[in-house]
Amino acid sequence: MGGKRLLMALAICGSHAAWAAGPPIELGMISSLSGPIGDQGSEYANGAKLAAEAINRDGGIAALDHRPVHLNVVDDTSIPSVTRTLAIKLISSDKVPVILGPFASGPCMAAAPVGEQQQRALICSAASDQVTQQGYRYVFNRATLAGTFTYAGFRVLDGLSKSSGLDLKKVAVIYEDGAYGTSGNAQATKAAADAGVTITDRIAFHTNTADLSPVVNRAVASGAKALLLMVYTGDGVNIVRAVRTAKAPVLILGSGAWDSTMVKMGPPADGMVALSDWNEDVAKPAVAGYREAYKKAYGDYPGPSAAWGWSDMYFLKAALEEAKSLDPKTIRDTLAKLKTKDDPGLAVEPFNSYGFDDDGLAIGQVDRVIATQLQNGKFVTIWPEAVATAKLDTSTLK
Amino acid sequence: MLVAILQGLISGALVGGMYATVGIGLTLVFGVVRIVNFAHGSFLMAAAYASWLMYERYGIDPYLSGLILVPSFFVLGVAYYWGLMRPMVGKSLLAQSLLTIAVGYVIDNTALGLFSSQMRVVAVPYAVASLSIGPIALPVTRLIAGGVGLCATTIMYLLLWRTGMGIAVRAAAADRPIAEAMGINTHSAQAVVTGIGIACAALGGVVLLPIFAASPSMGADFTFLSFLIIVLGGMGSFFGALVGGVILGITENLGATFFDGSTGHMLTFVLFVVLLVFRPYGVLVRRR
Repeated sequence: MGGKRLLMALAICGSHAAWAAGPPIELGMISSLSGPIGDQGSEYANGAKLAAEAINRDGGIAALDHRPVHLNVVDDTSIPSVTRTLAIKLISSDKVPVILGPFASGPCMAAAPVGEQQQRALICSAASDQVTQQGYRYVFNRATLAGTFTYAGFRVLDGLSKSSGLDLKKVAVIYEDGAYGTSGNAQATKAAADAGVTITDRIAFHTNTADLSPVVNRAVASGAKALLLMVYTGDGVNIVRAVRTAKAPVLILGSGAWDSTMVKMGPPADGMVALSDWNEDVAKPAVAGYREAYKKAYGDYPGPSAAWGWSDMYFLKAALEEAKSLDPKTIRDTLAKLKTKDDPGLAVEPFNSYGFDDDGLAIGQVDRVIATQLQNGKFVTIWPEAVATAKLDTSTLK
Repeated sequence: MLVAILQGLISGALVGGMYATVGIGLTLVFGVVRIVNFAHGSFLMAAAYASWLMYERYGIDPYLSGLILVPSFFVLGVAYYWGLMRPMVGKSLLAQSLLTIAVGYVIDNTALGLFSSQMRVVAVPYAVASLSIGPIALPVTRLIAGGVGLCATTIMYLLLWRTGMGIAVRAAAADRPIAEAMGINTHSAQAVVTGIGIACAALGGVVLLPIFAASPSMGADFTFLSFLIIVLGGMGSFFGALVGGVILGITENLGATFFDGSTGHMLTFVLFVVLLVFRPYGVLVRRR
């Protein structure tokens, strides 16, 4: 075992010796390694670090004399004011030419003006569309927007109706009455019409309502075959329990952000469908190897955020190769134009192209969304068929 | 329509019983110690997490974990009184409030640091079980929560009105100097009451875990809810907490049945304002 490790280490050292031709390229990375979104932010950073190691093993940035990359990762503790300070530090003191991150909408909004003023590109990850609606030239948003999932939800129901032969095209929309739910509900009419889905009822409720069974009863009574939920995790738990308590034969369509909580709920959550933009079983050849490499490096299998970090780092590598320069403006211009296809970063994603539109938002938003279903305690990909590993389990719909 | 109203009334009453479990501890501490414990919901949250941890690590059923957690939180409550609340007895409302708010923040952020913001749930089979009475379905977890609320209120009544300790506690609350002159150790009585109040919060956390997902922010939500309940019922009145909880539960449930989101939620507060206009000291308190 020890000999094997040594041989591997030697092979790695050998490859470094063959490639290394200069000091590492220092790249900035701001993520939330602690605080409320620390779990996902840490995964995001780990995914990017894993990709950076793989890039260095494969010869670094070829267009820049095979220099290796080094991620200068800083923790904004999920606090936007800290994000802003760290962005200033990375740009002014550490002189990084580009920044990966910040990780969530609040931190992105805080750091965006800094990137714009200092003319340093940020590839941030914000579910809110506000980040790319400010006219910033140096701010790119790699995330799938929250509204995209609403739109895609109706497409998923149309697709699942066709593939399963069941009529799932009568939908009740249940949404929390805050900004998240109401903005999602506002998009529902057009999205439903585009997908040929009928909305039987729209029911708003106040988040953290103790008993959501009246809401569920009303939705089921409307004749809905599926419930599209635009709610937070805790309310999602209550709704799933209320549906199962009422033994209502409806498909529950929720968010992939709840996955770990729903798995912990046990059998009552089985059968629920979650919208996401990554799942561990995405049917692509490189996914299994990537998952094992991640587990070896960090002890746990990766979640969606880790895959984002991985593909973002590879996209940044492609940009550096294309730019052939560490000039911040050249890198920004390259990021704005570059469109990648089938590179190692995309090899673990359910979509096949990556780049940004004129506003700086990641392209192909709706096509990124996949549907997973909790089957026997595990989420499996059921839609679209190109990346699916299982079919819709209809046992909870009878 | 009639079924929906009946379902709303019965489910609401059960939810109200559950709310009463939460509110009764707060009203008890205020009624006797005369300190508003803004950390009340945070203790509830801590108990919910402790119950979740015992389920997750050792497979202990959340309701059974109450047998360990309720006495443990009683001891914690007594220590809380002697360590932090006692120096604040008789001090300004602002000082008292700031202290308990700070304690709440410490507990909430400790939970956030230890468990992250991820929601924690228990996969108990009875979480989706229900009893049917004709067309009305009653979830088992809410039946238990409602029953616990009723039992807790009755036990509190018996404890305070039918025991020697209860007489001492009520005397300490009514007039501390006279009670002390009569040989009653008022601080000990108040410590016991604080312990009982925190134990009630723990009971609430344990009973709520099979219904709600635990999160570090749930404490603040339940502190607010507790205030609504005890103001409705009358500050310091534990039967008022039960009545306030049931009023709140029924209003919330009927609101969710017949109205959308904010409108249904607003009904609760409209009722709150109307009741306070006509009963400024709470539903069960005539005057102060």
